[in-house]
Amino acid sequence: MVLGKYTDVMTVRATDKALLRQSQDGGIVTSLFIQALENGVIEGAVVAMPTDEPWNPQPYVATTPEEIIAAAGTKYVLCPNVNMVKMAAREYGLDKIGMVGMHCLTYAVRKMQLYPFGARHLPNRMALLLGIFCTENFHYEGIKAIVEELHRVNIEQVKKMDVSKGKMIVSTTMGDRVEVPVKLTHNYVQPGCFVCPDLTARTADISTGSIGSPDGWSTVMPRTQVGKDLFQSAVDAGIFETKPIDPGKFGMEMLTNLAQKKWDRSVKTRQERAEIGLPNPF
Amino acid sequence: MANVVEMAPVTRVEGHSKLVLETNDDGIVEKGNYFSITPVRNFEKFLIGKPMEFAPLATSRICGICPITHSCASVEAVEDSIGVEPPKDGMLLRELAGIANRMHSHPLHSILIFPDFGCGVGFDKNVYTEAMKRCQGMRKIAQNIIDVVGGEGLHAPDIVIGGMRHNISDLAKNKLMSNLRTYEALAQEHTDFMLGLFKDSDYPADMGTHDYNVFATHLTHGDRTAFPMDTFSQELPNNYYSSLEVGLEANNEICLIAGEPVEVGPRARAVKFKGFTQRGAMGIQVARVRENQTSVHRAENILDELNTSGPTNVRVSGLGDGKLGIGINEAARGANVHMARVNEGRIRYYNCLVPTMWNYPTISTALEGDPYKYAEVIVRAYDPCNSCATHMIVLDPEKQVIENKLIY
Repeated sequence: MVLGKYTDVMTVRATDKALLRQSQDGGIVTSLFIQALENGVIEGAVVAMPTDEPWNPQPYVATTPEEIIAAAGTKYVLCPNVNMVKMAAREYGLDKIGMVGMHCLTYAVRKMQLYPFGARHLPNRMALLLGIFCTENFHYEGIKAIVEELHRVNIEQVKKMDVSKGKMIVSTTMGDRVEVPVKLTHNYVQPGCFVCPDLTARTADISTGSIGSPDGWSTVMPRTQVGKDLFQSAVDAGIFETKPIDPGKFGMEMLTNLAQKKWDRSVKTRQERAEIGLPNPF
Repeated sequence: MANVVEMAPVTRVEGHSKLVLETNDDGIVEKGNYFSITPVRNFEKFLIGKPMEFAPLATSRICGICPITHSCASVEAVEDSIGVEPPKDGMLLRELAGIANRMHSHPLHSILIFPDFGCGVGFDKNVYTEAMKRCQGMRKIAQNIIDVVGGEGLHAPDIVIGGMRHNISDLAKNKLMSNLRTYEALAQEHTDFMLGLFKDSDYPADMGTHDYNVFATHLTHGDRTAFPMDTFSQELPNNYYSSLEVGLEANNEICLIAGEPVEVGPRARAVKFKGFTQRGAMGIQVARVRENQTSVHRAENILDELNTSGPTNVRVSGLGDGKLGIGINEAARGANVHMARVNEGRIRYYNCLVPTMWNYPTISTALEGDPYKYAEVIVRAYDPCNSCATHMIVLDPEKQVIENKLIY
């Protein structure tokens, strides 16, 4: 099953309008982390924090709602959050750690929990894993090249990046909106993504992403008891408004199709790699 | 000829060691020999030619019980050689890691000596279980401090040349402080319990006494200016022990100050810095359990003093010109001295004088005058760690000794 196990799937957005303006789609990850912080589910979360270099985030241990909001929004750049998880358990003294990441990151953390070599104390301290839908990702140089060569926009002037309906859209601080077909960006994808079979971060506690929901909303899939309880508490607290996911062409069908496509691409890539004698991770 | 009693290996001490005791007909030891039979591991040799950053990582692996003291002494020796001085907060964190190491080692030693004081088979099971839990509880808190401060509980990677790799967060500082309060209460209970055990034991008060001086450089950290560079000497065991046979079997060197052995460890620190007067094996035991309180108070002071936003390391710019650097860390078992010469960023000379190297001749003498059946009890009072072995002999094909030398 390409979508993995989930207890529910729905279309959701945050009720806080100010937060929605700052976040990528429905403000799900930011709201969930703040809710988890306030409920005591986590003491801090490893997030991708913007740095002085535009659109090149670095892992950061956020321990306050303000810090979590500062890290809101998707950055289409590799950000090695797992690298920071061990530090969160050590120098930051967190006993309950949250982390956000795509499949590659959540999967790595689950592996560390199973075989904690060099990751003592981590298995019981990972309290919440939020997963993000992901088809592919870029190195910083890659995304810079895409924005500056294909969109013809200086990366310092980019206000928001988004991928929607086969287009990669860049909005600038000047108010312009430049679109480029996603397939043009494929040359810049970091190669590990072609091996990855998972679009919806099946190993997370809650997965979320824009695929399958209208603009400004996100698809949310609680997967574990921890995820289900946290999501329910956020709904009960009025943080989210929810509606059933569209089962049709632009809803569940699209999500399943894209996930299946990524799965098939992975199988094909792994076969090709095996044929020429390259190692495969799984 | 005197009777000879051999005990090998001595149990409930770290590493492998041996006792060869010459006794009279009443079983009183007339000549004591205590030495290491842990195989040579060549740390000082294989470090030569390696980058200086490798020294703290490698020497940390000398021992799994006090890796932190070796890392600290090692980085400080290298820093002294290349002329780097870490910032205040870095030194505070380093001292805290060292203290935490001691705070976990002392309760572990208590567990090892429980049976010597009747606390084992036949002892009140509930009291025994409580005592064990208390010791492990203390160790857990201390190990957690090293986890947070050093980045890993055993071989801490964050103790680096130039300071400490990271500062800790405010949250971590508050949690450590809270844990230290718990440790303080446990340490008080533990001290009362251990002093009770000592009081109830029937060991003579003068067991294991000697007339040698003590050597300690600092109460909680280590002070290289207190090292007697001019008067210390390292000798081969062949000449020191009562027979050549023993000397050749021994894998340890003998460290002396002004030609005489010295005692290092908790009693030495207490005598030098706190006016402690009790002597002998029991004096060491008492000093050791009381040291837990000294350590935890200093750890609390360090956290009070620590600025969690301050820099903890400096950029290392020099690569060294071969100057001899000394790093001293007061480990659980005494002064741990590392010496290094760094030239062009590489180790050119390395020498470790670990605490038990100072104590071997002292222990050997302390055994004399007491019944041989107390010998292991006296040895354990020093909590020896036989992990450093630096003596090598070269044999020709006929197994004749053709060369005795120290490995530098």
